[in-house]
Amino acid sequence: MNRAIAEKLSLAVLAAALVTTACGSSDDDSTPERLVLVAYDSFTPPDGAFDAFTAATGIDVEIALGGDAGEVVAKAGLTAGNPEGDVLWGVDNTLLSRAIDEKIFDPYVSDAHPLRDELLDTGSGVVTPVDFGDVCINIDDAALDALGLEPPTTLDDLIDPRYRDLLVVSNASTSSPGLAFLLATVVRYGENGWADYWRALVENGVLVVTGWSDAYYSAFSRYGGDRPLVLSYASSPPAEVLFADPPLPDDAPAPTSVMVDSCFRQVEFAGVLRGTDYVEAARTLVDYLVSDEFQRMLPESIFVYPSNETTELPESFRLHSPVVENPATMSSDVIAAGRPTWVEEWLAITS
Amino acid sequence: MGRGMARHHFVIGRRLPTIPGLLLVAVATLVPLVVLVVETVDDPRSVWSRPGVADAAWFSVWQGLLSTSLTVAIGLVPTWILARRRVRGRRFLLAVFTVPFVLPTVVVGAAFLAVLPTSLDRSLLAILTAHVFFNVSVVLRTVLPVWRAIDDDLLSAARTLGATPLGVARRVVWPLIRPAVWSASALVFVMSATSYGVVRVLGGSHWATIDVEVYRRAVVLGDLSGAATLAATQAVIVVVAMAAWSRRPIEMMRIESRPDRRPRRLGAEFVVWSLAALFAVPIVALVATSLRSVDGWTLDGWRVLFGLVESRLPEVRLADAVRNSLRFASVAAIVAVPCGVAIARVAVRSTARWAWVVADLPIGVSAVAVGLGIVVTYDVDPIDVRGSWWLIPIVHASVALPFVVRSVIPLLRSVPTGLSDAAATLGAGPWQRWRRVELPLMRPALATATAFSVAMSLGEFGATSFLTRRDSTTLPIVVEALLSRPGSLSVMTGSAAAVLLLVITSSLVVLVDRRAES
Amino acid sequence: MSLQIRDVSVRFDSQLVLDHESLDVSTGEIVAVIGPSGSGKTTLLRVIAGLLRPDGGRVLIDREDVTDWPTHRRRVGLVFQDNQLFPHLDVADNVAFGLRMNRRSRPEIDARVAEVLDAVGLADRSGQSVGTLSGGEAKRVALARTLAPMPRVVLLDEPFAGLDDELRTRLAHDVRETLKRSGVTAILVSHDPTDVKAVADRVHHLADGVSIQRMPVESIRPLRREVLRAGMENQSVDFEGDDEATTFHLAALDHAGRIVATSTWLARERAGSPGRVAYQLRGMATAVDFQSRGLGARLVVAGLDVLAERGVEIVWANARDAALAFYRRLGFTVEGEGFIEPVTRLPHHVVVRAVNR
Repeated sequence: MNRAIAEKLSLAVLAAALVTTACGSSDDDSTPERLVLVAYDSFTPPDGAFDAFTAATGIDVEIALGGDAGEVVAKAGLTAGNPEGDVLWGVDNTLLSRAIDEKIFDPYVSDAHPLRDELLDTGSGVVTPVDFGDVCINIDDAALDALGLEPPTTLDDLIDPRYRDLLVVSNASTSSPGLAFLLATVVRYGENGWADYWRALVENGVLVVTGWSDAYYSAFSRYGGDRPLVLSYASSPPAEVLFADPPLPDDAPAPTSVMVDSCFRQVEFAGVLRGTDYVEAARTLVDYLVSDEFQRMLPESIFVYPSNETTELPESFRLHSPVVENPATMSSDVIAAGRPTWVEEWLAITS
Repeated sequence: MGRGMARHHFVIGRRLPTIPGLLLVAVATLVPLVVLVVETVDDPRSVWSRPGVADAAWFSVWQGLLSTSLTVAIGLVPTWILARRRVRGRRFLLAVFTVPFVLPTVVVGAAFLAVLPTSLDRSLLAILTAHVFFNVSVVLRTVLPVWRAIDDDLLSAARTLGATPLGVARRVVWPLIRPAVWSASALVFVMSATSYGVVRVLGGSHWATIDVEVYRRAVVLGDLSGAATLAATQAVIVVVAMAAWSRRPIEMMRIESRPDRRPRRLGAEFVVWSLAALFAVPIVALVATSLRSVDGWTLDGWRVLFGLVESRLPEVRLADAVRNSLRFASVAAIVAVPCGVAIARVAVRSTARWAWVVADLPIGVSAVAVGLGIVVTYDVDPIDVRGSWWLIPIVHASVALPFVVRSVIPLLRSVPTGLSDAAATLGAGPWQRWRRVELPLMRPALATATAFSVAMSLGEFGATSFLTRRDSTTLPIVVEALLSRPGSLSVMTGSAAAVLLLVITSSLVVLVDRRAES
Repeated sequence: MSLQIRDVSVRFDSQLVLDHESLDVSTGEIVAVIGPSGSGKTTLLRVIAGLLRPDGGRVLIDREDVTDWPTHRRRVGLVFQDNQLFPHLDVADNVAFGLRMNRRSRPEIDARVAEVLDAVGLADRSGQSVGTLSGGEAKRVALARTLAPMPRVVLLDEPFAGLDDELRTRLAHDVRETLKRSGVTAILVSHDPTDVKAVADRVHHLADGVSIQRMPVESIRPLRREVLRAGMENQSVDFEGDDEATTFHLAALDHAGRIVATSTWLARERAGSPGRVAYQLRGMATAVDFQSRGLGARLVVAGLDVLAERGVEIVWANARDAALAFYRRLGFTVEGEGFIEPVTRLPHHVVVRAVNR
């Protein structure tokens, strides 16, 4: 009996020793075989997006997806210092403050490539802006035409009785575009004015649904609903062309258009995760993420605008959705500070 | 080795088979939850005063009760008709009512959104309807076998003793089916009150159950402490409630068939087929969505799905997704089936409630909490397995375990124990008895358990999407991704993928129910 | 509480299970209904109880036509073959069930339950669970339950089936006593005639309306043609000796007077037993929708009675090989070699039986 136990014990110890040596971490900053890029579920760059990086550095890039942006950041917060990957893609300006507070990142702002002026310094010196997108009201042109209405141009138009019962938005407390639109109204109407604006919107029959899908595919008149004004993205009209069925040529007119005055700028960032074993290599990857080679692929794969100043937009975007000039913007700390109260009040107004 | 020693070994040997199952639940559910609580909770009592929390708790309870009442009331109608009348197309009807249980919420959510009209109270109505849709299956599977087993002559006896038809129902039928109805209600209540996918997708801005509030606290508000507190509280309440409520383990039987000599009434047939048609409406709507583009009907969505046509949709790597889904499902089944069958065996032989209670734990633990818990538990070298592909099927197996156990217990009950004893008297040792007598007799149970595990794994979305995956997307995730992107082709292809998922899971369940009957 | 059944017919799909059955039972009488399995005995009970609507005929209780009444109003008790005790109620509650349906008061119920349980000898079991009762005890409880609400008629379906002999005799005696003491009208059905002699005042055979009579040869020719010469229109259906004085034809007639089975008996010596008085049985035929009902056997039995009266010693027949088992069951033995019958070209054997055995 005793000998059997002793044998088993020593085998176990041996096994453990082998395992630990095999899995032992290599020295800091030595070149790894691969880097893990953590991102949200809809991060779908085309195949081969990282080939250039691998060719240049000899490092493979493995993409690890896990939930939406909020979930990814929540997990990163929980594992700060012992992260699931090396680089994180997808913190946006509504989440950045929280991410910084929870010390998720090892500060690094890439200056390897020129970025758009308005994006500089948005990363609080911790992360690098990699793309941006605008949340805007989209318009079903044909439907409005059939109603004999001109497309609305300003936020004030939306509370005009002419556009009664025509708008659908998503929930600001759980949906990212919903929150963005709320923030846009806070920017446009100020701390003291936005609540009245929303009361007027409710008066004018705005429909609030759960999420983007619900708004776009159930309530939007283009897909069988009865609302020709829907809260979506500035990149939605080009998507309507690219993913049209029956297929449309790239230069066909888009069936939907964007109401520029309603747009809110969302900026997305990427950063090196604190606790990674390969800080240097991770920084190189972040540099690659803002390179023109990579940024070129972004618009038609994940429907965002490149942060790299020199990157040209593809034709579909140029024709159907050029960059919005003056969207509403808000820095991440202001968002973090005001959001809980704004959302609570918004819930009260819209319930 | 004296006799005392032998008996000691025998008792341990009996309990031994349940260990893998308990280990599974521990690893995949209990330990992550506990670690999450330990790591994040501070000032637990303050959670209840935070905005939305008390409301969510209250909503969980009253919505749960309402959903349960509706489900039972509606569910007893086809149960009664199928129990006591001969109906054409019986098997098909049973499939229509019982398949929804294993359907992924992402599919059902999309289907319901396609059907319900855009009006104000749509969200509560949608939630209740969806709960009824999913859970009528529980009522049917639990109550139908009991109801069917009531001898016609027992009711005739009551009639000869002067009982009116209503009297017969009240005094003979109801007392006999009441335990089953009670059991079914308990399970339906727990599932409705802890509902996550349905409420999140259909809930609109107002309604949130505790599970959804856990998500909101953790992900949207960054309040991990609150989230963990809520998750732990819910888990404890559910476990206690399930343990107290079910004096006998709730059984969810496969639907058996016997030669039918019951009367056939046209009215009854009409009612049950109408109800089945209602149940089929969301499915039909989903199919329609997959075929409808902006200006007419087309098969393009399906063509893109199967890669017959080039498209710019990057998510449509259907082959990968199906391969992964099947891979996860097989591993989940390989893990869940032996664990579940072992626990079911113990539950049948003895009244060991503890094993049963632990196996039920996954029902009450929020998927979000599990996801977060895993990320914070298995993060120490050398067991840093976050991102490993096999973590996903392990979680699936844990989620499926309570239902695998339930579906297997009635089948094991009907295995005559005398056979094993007879074999023993003929000189067969325990291993031989197992291999040559018990295992062959358990084959229908194993088949059912496997089908359940595979179906639930295929449809699992909540936990899967939360776990970090390296290069392993599943079919439900593909559906969700496609439906989150604008464009005619996206929604058609996404709906087509949802229909495909639905067909695969339904076929599995129907196939196994059929085979188990023969 | 008299009971009359008039011309009750029940048809399941195409099978006629009861054919114009009639029966009269006077108040307080116990009648046993006998018949082989499948002859519709249980069906008759269900019609009386109202659990089954007959396709024709009436049921009268105390001269009231209850044929259209629902079961729960008829006050007809039924003791089922497998007892059908309510599993969720104990013995006392089972017995009390009918009383509760009649909305009797609590003390009334308790008193009556005690009385009835005492009558069947189970006074000390009132709180017991029904699952633990033995076969005999369960039968008694079922009887008590049926009697408690004082029904007008009590029906018993195979009450002694499945019980061992000793229990049977004891139960039969007890059942009769209990029924007589309560003065209720009763019908019990059984497939075993020996059981019921101890219980019943008289026995009624479920005749399904068929009677056996002598018929002239003209009447039976159509059936002969239909069954024996099927597909052979040119062949004659006259047998040699059909019109001799000693020949008689026995036929079975249904309630409408239609001939549904026939047999011909003629005096003819048998080659193998010279000098002994013998009759030949020939021309046995049964209509298609009356087959498998034992009509053939009844005809043979009836014919044997007639032959016995005439002092005939032997009866024999040329039997088709397919019918040999039938004859054997009736006590015939096969003799000699087989042969091919010239008209039908089927194989036959000779079968013989002594008339008095």
